[in-house]
Amino acid sequence: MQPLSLLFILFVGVLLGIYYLVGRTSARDRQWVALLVGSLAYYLWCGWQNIVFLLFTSFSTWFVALRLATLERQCKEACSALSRKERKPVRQAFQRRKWLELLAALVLNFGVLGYLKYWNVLLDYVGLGSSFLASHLLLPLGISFYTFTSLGYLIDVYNGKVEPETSYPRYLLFVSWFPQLVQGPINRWAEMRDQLLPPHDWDLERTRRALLLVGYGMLKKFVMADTLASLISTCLDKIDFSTPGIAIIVGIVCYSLQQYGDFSGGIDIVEGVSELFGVHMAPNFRQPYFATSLADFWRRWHMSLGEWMRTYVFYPLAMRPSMMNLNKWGTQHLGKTIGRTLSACIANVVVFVLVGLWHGAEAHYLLWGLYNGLVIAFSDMCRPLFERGKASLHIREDSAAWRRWSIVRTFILVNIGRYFDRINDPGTIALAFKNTFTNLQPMSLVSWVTVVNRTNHNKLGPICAAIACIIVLMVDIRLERGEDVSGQFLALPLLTRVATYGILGAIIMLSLSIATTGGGFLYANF
Amino acid sequence: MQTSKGLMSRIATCCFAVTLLIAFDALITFVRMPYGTKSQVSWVDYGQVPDGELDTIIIGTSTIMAGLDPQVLNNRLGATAYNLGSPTQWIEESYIALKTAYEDHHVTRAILGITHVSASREGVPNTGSTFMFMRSLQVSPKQNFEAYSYLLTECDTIGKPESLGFIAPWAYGSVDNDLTDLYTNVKMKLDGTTLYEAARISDHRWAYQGNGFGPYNANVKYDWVGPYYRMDDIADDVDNLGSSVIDPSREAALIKLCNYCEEHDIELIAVVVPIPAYRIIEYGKGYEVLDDAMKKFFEEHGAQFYDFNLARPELMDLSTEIFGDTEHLNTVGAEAFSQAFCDVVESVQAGNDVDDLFWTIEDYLRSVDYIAAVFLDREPHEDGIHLRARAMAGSDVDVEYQFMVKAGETWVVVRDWSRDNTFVYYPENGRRGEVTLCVNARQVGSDEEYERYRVIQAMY
Repeated sequence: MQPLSLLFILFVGVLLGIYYLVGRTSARDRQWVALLVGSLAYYLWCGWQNIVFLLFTSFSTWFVALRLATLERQCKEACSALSRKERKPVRQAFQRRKWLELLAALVLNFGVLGYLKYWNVLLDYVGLGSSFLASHLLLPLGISFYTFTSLGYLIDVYNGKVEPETSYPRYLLFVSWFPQLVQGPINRWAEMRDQLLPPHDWDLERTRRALLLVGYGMLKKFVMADTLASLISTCLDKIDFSTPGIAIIVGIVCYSLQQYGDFSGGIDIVEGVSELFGVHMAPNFRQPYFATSLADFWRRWHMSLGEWMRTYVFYPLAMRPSMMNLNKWGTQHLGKTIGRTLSACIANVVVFVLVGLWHGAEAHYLLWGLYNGLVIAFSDMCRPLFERGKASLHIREDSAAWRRWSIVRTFILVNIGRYFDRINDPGTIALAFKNTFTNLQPMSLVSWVTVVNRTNHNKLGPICAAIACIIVLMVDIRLERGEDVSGQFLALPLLTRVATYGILGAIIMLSLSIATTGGGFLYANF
Repeated sequence: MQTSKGLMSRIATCCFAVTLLIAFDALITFVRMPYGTKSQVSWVDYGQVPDGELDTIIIGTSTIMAGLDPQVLNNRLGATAYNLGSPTQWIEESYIALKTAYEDHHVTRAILGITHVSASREGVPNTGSTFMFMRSLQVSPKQNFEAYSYLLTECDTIGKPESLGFIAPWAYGSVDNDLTDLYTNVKMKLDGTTLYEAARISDHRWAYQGNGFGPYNANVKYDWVGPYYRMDDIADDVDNLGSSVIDPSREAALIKLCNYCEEHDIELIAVVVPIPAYRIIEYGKGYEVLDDAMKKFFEEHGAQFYDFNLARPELMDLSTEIFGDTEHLNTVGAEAFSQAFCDVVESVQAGNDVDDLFWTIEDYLRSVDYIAAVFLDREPHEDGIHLRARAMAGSDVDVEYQFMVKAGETWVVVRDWSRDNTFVYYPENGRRGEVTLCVNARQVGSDEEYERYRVIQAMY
């Protein structure tokens, strides 16, 4: 069921009606049940097999969370009558049991995810892809997202950050909340509990803003992203000796725009739909192309995954005693600067390698992860050097010129990384870089596209994409300044707004007929 | 009072906004929806046929729209036929057309023009297609409701963007976005240009002759046709997975169509209208696999199936001159095909076995004793542009090739005649940029300058 479809519109409309009607009855406190039923119905529509995995993950994590709480309680009870000296071994024993149960849940759920995502890939590598060992199971919708969501909750319970939810249906709603299933964000229990469970009344202003957000998301996704697919394919799918560097650069930049449009547009749509129900989800993008460093970029792009990785991978890894010892060793042998940052650098590289592999078990994703991790690690290590350089050149970091330069520099760094992301094999990636630097041929772009026009795309696609890019840039500039863009738009005269809706709606519908992507989301299969 | 006044005001504002948007949509529809499309002509003329008059309906893609003349059927078979074929008609749309024809006329014969592409096509039909839009203007609201319900529910369209196509049919079937074309389109709608004149203006090759039928008044240029769909992938899929190559959704629609014919006692004849020989040869093994799958399917579902690409010369002369373009018969070809079709129907009615009138695919490929087309693939490498010529010729044809490069305004031979279909061209001094290359193909032993050629642009 795709967001831009009659079924989705009917589904959301009916669910909204039921949800707010229930809110006006004596069952108001159970209003969330309507959301649960709707979410499960959405998931069932997409295939009954999907719901099996969803129930498995949600039930196993809910159950183990309760077990952890029970163990914690038992530990407290056991320790209450003991002396201080006697408590330590008891606590250690309970902690060990908790750790083992957590580990079991992590292995089980990551194991299922890993099997579904990577088993066949691994078999292909060893030449057994067509054997009886191959899995014929399709990747369930949103499995990465709800696995990360559920395990994040479980780890928070383990760390004592949240109390476990005793009601399975309430917890199931958190995991299965339908807008987040397609491509995130990865929500946290502590925030979502207070959004999903309390009753909501219909609010006109909230509805207007939500619908505007949905429409804006569709502009990004269907106009900006999907219409570029054909040009990107022409430029990047078959890079060979003759491909001019300018075509590769154009392809990569368009791919950057496509990624942003597709992913953030999709997030806007799901967040807008969620807002219609009064359920506010954490933002997942914050004008990433205004980032002033690669690290800043990744704090603005897919923020929920970054947050998850920071909380559950980066900090636990970087703060381990062995890593602290490594820092000490580094300080002694490599200097203070490197020593202090060594653990963080290694943890960063690990995080990005994991994120790369999360995208797919292919060499180019691994290279992408390594690139990002190493660049951030390098910049962390060289920070004092950069600071000295800026000081000697009298560069003011708060100046507009420096900020603009930082944005451009970061955009270039991000796009270098896109070479590894979009181009599928290392040999072709190397050829792409070579052609970029040694065979630019800047004036040959138009003739090259004409000669190799494999997909026969029409000119309207890039024109629509350009219009969308301009609109998105204007909006993002305002958002970066902290302006309430939705509020400003909704304050415009009615005729202006209706004209805007009409024109943008027409462009969206036109884009559907131009695009060759079929309307699906790039991240839906993660 | 204040609250209800505020609510009324909001409702009024909302209604006003929605009205404006509907008016805007109507305006775009008027400007962009092309006047004089083949579907429009076909449905408008269909709407003028009195109920109960037709006994034969022709449905399917534009191959049959341009290939099967209802008048020939009327004269030869004593039928009253109408052609509702249309460009890129989905099988689901063919079913809807058949149902409409039965409800209006109780037709007793349906002729389905099916292609290998329409049978293996993936995806879902669009509720905003020109065919469906033009049909909606000619049929009753009940028929519209049933048709769109079928598309949305049974055809799985409802969960996809195609389900919203009916809101903006102009997005899917429209004039080009050139301002001149848009202006011409609006002008024709306002200045009294008839539908048929508009059809001629928008496609001067299409020679509409009435009853929904119109061949293409042109001759295909074999030296400029593009490589088409490669069906070797389908053959590989069958080898690997052992599955039928008819797309499952198309198969479901075909089953529904066949069942409808069975339930309503409609004789169903499925035909593949001839296409240029180079297409059959280019399809490779996949063509035979899909052909066999379709034959088996229709026989199992009580219908007749004839692939006229395999027609023997005594049934139909499949010369290279009968095609208007890479997909459609021209006027000569349509006449020949329509007559051949009637020959088959009459022969079947007389109780004869018509299998002898058709080749097997192997015999067909042997019967093609010429070079139908030649393609030239190129792949730039550091040592030059690697060229590979592919001659679409019968299996017994021995081909030789000559490679040329354009220098200024003249052609220079860079590799003379040889059976070797590959050559590596290294530009002078390794010069980077665009280069124009040509391959000539002729049969070994021929003294013609060439039989077929292909010119391509390549980058080095």
